[in-house]
This record gives sequence, C-alpha cells and structure tokens, in this order.
Amino acid sequence: MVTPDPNPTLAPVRGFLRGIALLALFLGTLGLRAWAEPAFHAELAPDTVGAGDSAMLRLVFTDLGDVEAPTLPAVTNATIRYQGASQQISIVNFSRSTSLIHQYQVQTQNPGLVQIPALSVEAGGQTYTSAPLTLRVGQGFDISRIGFLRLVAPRPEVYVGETFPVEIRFHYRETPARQAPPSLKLDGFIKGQQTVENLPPETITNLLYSVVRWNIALTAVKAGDLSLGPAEFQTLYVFQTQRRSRGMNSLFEPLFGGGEQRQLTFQSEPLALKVLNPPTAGRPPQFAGAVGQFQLDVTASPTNVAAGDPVTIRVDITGRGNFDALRLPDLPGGSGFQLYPGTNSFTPNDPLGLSGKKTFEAVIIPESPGVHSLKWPVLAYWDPSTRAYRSDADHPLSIHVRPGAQSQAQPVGTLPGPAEPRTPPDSVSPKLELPLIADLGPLLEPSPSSVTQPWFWWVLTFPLWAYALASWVPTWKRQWRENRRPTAREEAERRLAKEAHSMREAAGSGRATDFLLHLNKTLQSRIELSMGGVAGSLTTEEINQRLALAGLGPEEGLRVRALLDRIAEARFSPDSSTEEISKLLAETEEVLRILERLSRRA
Amino acid sequence: MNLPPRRHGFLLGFLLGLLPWLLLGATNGPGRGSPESLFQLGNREVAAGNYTNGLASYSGVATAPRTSAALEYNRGVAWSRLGEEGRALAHWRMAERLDPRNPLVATALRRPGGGGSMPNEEGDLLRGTDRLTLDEWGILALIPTWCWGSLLFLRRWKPAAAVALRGYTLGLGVISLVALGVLGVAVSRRSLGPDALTSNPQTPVRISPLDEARTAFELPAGTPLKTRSFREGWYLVADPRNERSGWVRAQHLTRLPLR
Repeated sequence: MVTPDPNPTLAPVRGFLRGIALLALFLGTLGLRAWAEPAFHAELAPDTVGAGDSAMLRLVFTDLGDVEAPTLPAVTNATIRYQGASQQISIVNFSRSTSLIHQYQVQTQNPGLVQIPALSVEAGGQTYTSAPLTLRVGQGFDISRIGFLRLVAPRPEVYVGETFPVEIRFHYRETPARQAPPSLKLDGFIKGQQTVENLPPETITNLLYSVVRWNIALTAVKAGDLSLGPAEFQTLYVFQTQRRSRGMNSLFEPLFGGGEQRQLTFQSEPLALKVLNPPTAGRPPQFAGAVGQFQLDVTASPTNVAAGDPVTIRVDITGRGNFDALRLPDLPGGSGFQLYPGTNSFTPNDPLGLSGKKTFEAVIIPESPGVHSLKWPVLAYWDPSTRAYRSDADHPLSIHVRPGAQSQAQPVGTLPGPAEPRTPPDSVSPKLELPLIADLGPLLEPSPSSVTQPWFWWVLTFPLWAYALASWVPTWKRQWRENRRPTAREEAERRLAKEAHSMREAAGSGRATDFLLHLNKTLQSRIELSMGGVAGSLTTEEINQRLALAGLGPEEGLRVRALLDRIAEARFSPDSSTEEISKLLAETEEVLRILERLSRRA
Repeated sequence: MNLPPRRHGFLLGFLLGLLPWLLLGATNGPGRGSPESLFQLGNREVAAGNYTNGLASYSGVATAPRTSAALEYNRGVAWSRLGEEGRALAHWRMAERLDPRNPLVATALRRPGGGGSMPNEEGDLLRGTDRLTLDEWGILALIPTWCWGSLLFLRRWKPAAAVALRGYTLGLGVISLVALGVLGVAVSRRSLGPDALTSNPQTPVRISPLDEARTAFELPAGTPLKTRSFREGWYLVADPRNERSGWVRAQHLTRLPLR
C-alpha cells in the first residue's frame, strides 16, 4: 500500500537532499580508504639464480615520502650494488598509495646461499623493519667450459728500463659474438705496441681449444716486486635457448636471433714480476738507462772541411731493447767540435718495435784546423741477457780540418722530413758576411741565349752542310746523267747528229747511194725536230704546209722543197758524180741551217 | 773660315742630329737618378744596415727587364741580411745565369744556408757545363766548327794539299764534335732543369689558375721549379724533387733565363 505524499510540493527538495547525502557518503568512504597505512618491505627476484648470475633486491617504501637509499650491510657470497630508485602510484579498491622503490643488484659468486638480513629504516619518526631474505645460488653458468685467459711473461725478473713482451692468450671453445680488446692492469709498467694473432688450436685435458694471442710490449719503469695484471677480456655470447618462448616474445625471436645473450668477462691470474735496477757496481759513466743489446755505427761526411764548416754525423744504432731511452751521447769535453743535435728516426724490425734501427743525425763544427780524431759517441748499456754492462768500441772519426774560409763545404746526407730546401740551423751555419759588388756592370736584358734560336744552329753547322752539299751534288749530278733515260728530242738530236755525220762521211768517200740514204734520214730527222711528227711519216704536202705555217720565207721554202724533190728523184737514179755530191752536200747543210733557225724561232 | 753653302748646311744638320744624343747622354749619365747612382746609393744603404732602403734603390736600377749580375747579387745580399734566404737565393741564381763565373755569386750559393745546388746539380759530373753561359759555349763550338768546315773545303779545292791538311782536319773535326756535344749537353741541362724559383715566402701552389682555387701546397721562397705552361698570369709548375705540380702566380716566381 502506497502512502500518499502529504505535501507533494516538497518532493523535489527531498530528492535533492537525498542525492547530497548519497554523495557525502561516497566521498566519505573514499576519503577513509585513501589514507592507508605506511609500510616498508624488501623483496628479491628471482630468489634462485646460478653462480655468477645476479638477482634484483627491491626496497619498497609505501607512503613514507622521500626516503634515502639505505646502505646495505656486506653479505657473504655476493656483492650488492645500488642501481637507482623509481616511484610507483597504485589505486586498489579506491585505495591510492605511493611507493618509492630503491633497487640493488645482488651479484652472486659461488653456489650456496646468500642471506640478506632484516633491514631497519627510520621514517616519519618511526622505525620500519623488513623481513630477512634468502637467495639460493645454484651451480649456475660455468664460464670455464667456454674458455679461459692466461697472462704469460718471458721471465719473472726484468730490469728497470727493459722493454719486454708479454702475452695474453685466450683459449676458447666457443667463439664470442662480440668482444673488446683485452685490458691489462699496469702498475710500474708502460705499455708499448700491441699485436694480435691466431695460433693453432691446442688440446688441453682432452678438450680442443682455439687460441688467440695478444703480444704487448711493456717497459718496466720502477723497481720492486710488482704485480702485472690481471688481464680482462670482455665478451658477449649468444646461446641458443632450449625452450621456446611463448606468447608475444616468440614473435620477435626470429627477428633478434632467438638466443640468450650473456656478457662474459674472462679474467686471468695476475703475474708477479720482480723488477730490478741495473746494478751500480761497474756502471759506466756514459750509461744513460739504455737496456738491451745494441750495435753502433758512426759515419761522418764530409771528412775534409775548412774550420767552421759543418760536418754531418750519422749514428745508426741497431739491436734489440728500449730504443725510446736511447739518446745521442754528448760530445766529450775538449773534443774540438761543437755539436748541434739534429733529427732522429726509428725503423722497427718487428711489429712490437722491440728490435730495429735508430738513426741520429747531427751536425758538428770543427773549431780549429788540423786532423781531428773524434772518439765519439760511446754508447753504454745494460745487457739483461748476460747481466752485464757493455760499451760499444770506440768509433774514431778522422776529420781533416783546413784553415781558411768558412764557406767551402756543407753537411751532406739526407735529413728525414719534408722535402723542403734544407737550411741548417742558424746556430750551425755562422753567416758569412758577403761583400757587396761596387761595379754595376752592363745592364743586360736577360733574354734567352742565341743558342736557343734555330738560326744559330743553322749558322753553326753551315760549313758542314755546305761541305756535304758540295761533295754530294757533283756525284749526284753524274749519277743522274748516267742513269736517266734520254727524252725523245734528245734521241732525235742524237739520231740527227749520227745521220749527218754518216752523210758527210759518205760524201767524202764518194759513195753516192749511202750519201743519198743518209741525206734523206738527216733531213727527215731535222724536220722531225723542227716541226714535230715522226721522221719519215710526213708527206711532201704536209711538209710544205707545215713549213708555210712555221713562217718559212718563199725563197727558203723553195730551197727546201727543191732538196726534197732531189731526194725523191734520187730514189730512181741514185748514181751521182762527186761534184754533184759536193754541191748537194753544200745545199743540204744550208737547208739544215734554215730548218734549225726555224726550229729556234718556234 | 769661308765654307761653301753646302758645307754650312751639312754642318748644321750634323750638329742638330748630334743634339738629341748629347741630351740623351746627359740624361743617362752618372747623375742623380741614373742606374749607376741608384746602384751606389743602394750599396751605401745596405752597408749602413738599411736593407729595405737599399732594396728600394736597387729596384730603381732594374729598369725591367734589364739587369746585371752585380745588381742581382747585391739584391740577394740585402735579402739575405734581412733573413729572407729564399728570396736571396732567387736573385743569386739569376746572377749566376748572367755571370756564371763570378766568384762572389758562387760563394753566396755555396755558403751554408745559401741554398746549395739545384735539383739537377747534385752529384752531376756534367755540372762543369754551367761554368760558361750558353752564348760562350756557342762561340766555343762555332769557331772550331767553321775552321773544320773551311779545311774540308780547302782540301776539296786544293786536292794537292789534302795530305798535308789531313791531321789538322782530323784534329779539328774531333774538337768540333766534342764542342758540339758539350754545347748540346749544356743546352739540355738548362732547358730540362728548373727554370724558376719561388720568390715569395710560403708561395701558394693552387690546383688551378684561379685565386679562388684550393691551395694544393705551399713552397718556401727559393724553391727551384720547372715551369710547364703559362696561362693568363699563372704558371703551371712542377717541383722536380717530388714531381708535385700546381699553378703559381707569375709575380710569385723568378724566371731564370735560358742562358
């Protein structure tokens, strides 16, 4: 049964008040829950690890404000290192809490237990105490099954200043994915050159190991019983996991290799080395710390100089030892020379630079004339192999010094360095005061010499060319005449001369037939020469026509034609008297002259 | 003196023609501003330790391109005393080309710090050819060659004298051939060797003939170089000691004449 509202107009007001009450109840409940109890506790994750692995210790301070990280007591079988802090806010069932978390890494050492005692901290005027924790350490990861590191020195005793090699050998059965160069703890030693090489595999306790070796040159710098090392070699290994990941992780396994990455640091045992000072007994006065075995060679150039001129000294030191400690020995006092140190260079014979050749170049200047025997330099060194001081034999240099000008000789030899013009240091080369020339002399144009002009060479060799031409041209001319083929005209002239000669001969001997025969041939040859054509091929008409064209006068033409007619008649009556032959010969000679003139005019 | 009118005209013309020569001679005489007086002024300045002033006076003497061995030598001395051995070397090398047997020039070049020998001179047995200029070697070759040629012609012209002249002809022939050979060596040594020196300290050698081009390397003053070609105020040069090459501005070089 529903009771009717006695005052229905107040219903909205009552509803509003109910809502306010409900909200107050909700907020009151929330406020009570937000003020939770402050707390402190410690937690360890994971609680079981292998030897050499680490676990994480978290100290959680809830609603205690900013609490400084407490200093943890030392624990056995583990090393605890602070890692940092973080903050965490959580709301559970309307309960809000703020937690400050300090994290520590617990690095385990050996199988067994690691006990972390109860920790007490003070905050807000109260003391909070955590429960003790226990970390179980199993057998863990056995690094020795991967490989091991060894540090090897040639002998347990070395000398101060001695340079000697040490070896770091890494024997391994699995190849690391990555590695850093090994480091070596050095106290009392200076590190020099370093090399690395792979060695043949070795079998140790029936296991086959690959071997890599680093050679390092060390120089002892202080005496005493020193510890060398340990050497450390940091590697990163990736091991294939047995179990497959599940969930989201399995998606990324193919992408990132799917193996377990583990950073492994191999460490060698340190070496105890006894470093001795070279003994003071028997130490040569020239000893300057050189340790090793050395040979010395000294050369000088030039060895014949004027006083004040520089002489280049070259000192080559070969052998094995600490070349860095080698210095060019000083000149002995009163040597008669001034020494000006120059350059030095080192050429190693091995990658570590334990052996090689060091070259010093210096300049000495003789102070006075004469023959100087310079016993220098003397190198004294400690030989660690024989445990004795040694000095190289004297290297006397005989230098003949002339009196006189300072500017006759220069140091020779090649100084290392850039190939710039070599200028000895000012202190080495005292400046010669050059005098000035008082006479200007003729001003010339510095043009190239006449010798560089082509005309000079023609002038220079003209007599030779002229003589060669004079000798060669006559010979050539003669040969040309002898060898060349005559032209048709020359052949015709030769024929004409021959026939004319035979004609005159026949006329002289009275042989009328021969005379007329040669007369005909002579005339034909003459016409051939004067008017062209081939001898004997022209008719009388053609001859008359050509003679007219050639400008032969009428009287001369008549004489030529008369002679031609007489020859034609002679074919039928060749017999002629001597008188007739003579007249005919005279007429023929005249006609030949006429035709020759005609030929010249043409 | 009574002279005919033609003679008067001739005398007047002669004197008028002589006048310019007299004026020119007065201008170029040993007066103030003449090359000789400037040279002596430069000498006095250098002797007094005023090397810069001395060099300025010497520069007035060198009415380019005319110069003299003494002038180049003294300029080298002034630069040397200023500590500019490279510039001094360039002037001494020029003096050596002009007067190769000048003992003071030889002393300056052989003194410590004087630059020593050129790259093609060290240990060279043929460096004796540098004792004479090319013109002198040319005359030494010309005389025996012409004599030899004349004897050859004489033998041809007078065959009767051929036997008597045979020894002379042979001897002169040998002398001529040797002289021609030495002349050839002298020419080739000078033409193949360095023909320029850097005259500025730290002369930049650029990779192309432009001021904006990168500097390939720098050379100190007095470095002997071989010029390869010329283009618009730049020389393509090569350092004979290491075959490095590049372009150098012409004003940074002292060209050695082929003499």
